[in-house]
Amino acid sequence: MRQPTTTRAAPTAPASLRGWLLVLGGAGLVGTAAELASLRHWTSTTQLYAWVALVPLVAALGALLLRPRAASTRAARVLLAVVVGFAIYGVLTHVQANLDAGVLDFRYAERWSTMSTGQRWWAAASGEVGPSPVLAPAIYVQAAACFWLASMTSPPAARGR
Amino acid sequence: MRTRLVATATATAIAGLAAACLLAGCGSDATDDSSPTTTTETAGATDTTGTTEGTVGTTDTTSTGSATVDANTATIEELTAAFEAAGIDQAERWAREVDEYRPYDTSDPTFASLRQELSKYNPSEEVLEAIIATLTL
Repeated sequence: MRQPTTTRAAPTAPASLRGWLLVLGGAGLVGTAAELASLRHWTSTTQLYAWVALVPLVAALGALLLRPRAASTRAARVLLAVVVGFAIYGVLTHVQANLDAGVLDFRYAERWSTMSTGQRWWAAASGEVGPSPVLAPAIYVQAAACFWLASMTSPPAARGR
Repeated sequence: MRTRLVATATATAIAGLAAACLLAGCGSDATDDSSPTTTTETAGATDTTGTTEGTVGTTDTTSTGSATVDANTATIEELTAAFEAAGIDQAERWAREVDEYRPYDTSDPTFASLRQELSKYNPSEEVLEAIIATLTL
């Protein structure tokens, strides 16, 4: 008896959403790598951390793409938490770099030492002084958030608790 | 229900991160816009001896009497000493910055790339010119 032919169903809404989330996060990942390369973001050990942070991000993407099972999904989420940790460290490091550069800014050079700690932190965190884009490392949070949300829409096999 | 929740969370995350990236870009622009970058030629950096170019640890003397050091090979201590001799405040900090952005293209005697990098710190025009005038390739 002839078996009924199976036709491939169109992707359901969660599957489609998962795919777009992975694409969006992956685009952030590739864009970040390209930006880091164009900035030559490797002139100090601290700057290399931005590259190191890409490793767990790539690993999480691989886990979600290649082995969407419960264990690998859990592992991916742990990796994404690590990435978020790197991102927070990156933001703080950029603020610190701007703080250190306050005395080099001709507008602040003379009064920098007389400013309160809060004023200096605000100037550094708002990008008023210093060369570092404070929120740039937040791109890692965006990519990690995309992958994390994708993991919530994983195939049934990956939804184990 | 779950899909709707995820979609809402996704939209919120993307909107939030887009705003964050926008803010980051603004912060970066703020320092760039206000930096007094110029493309003035560094006439004062002309070597008078021309005998020690490219040699580590040696200095030349400019027409203004201050020493110049090789931007690619001088140590941080040598850069610091040269900057201090030129009367530049925060000499050691600037020396570390010059060291960080090495190597410098020897076919670019105007130090265009270094000017661009140092401008991010928003130094005064005098300080920037003094730094460039203290360096040679």
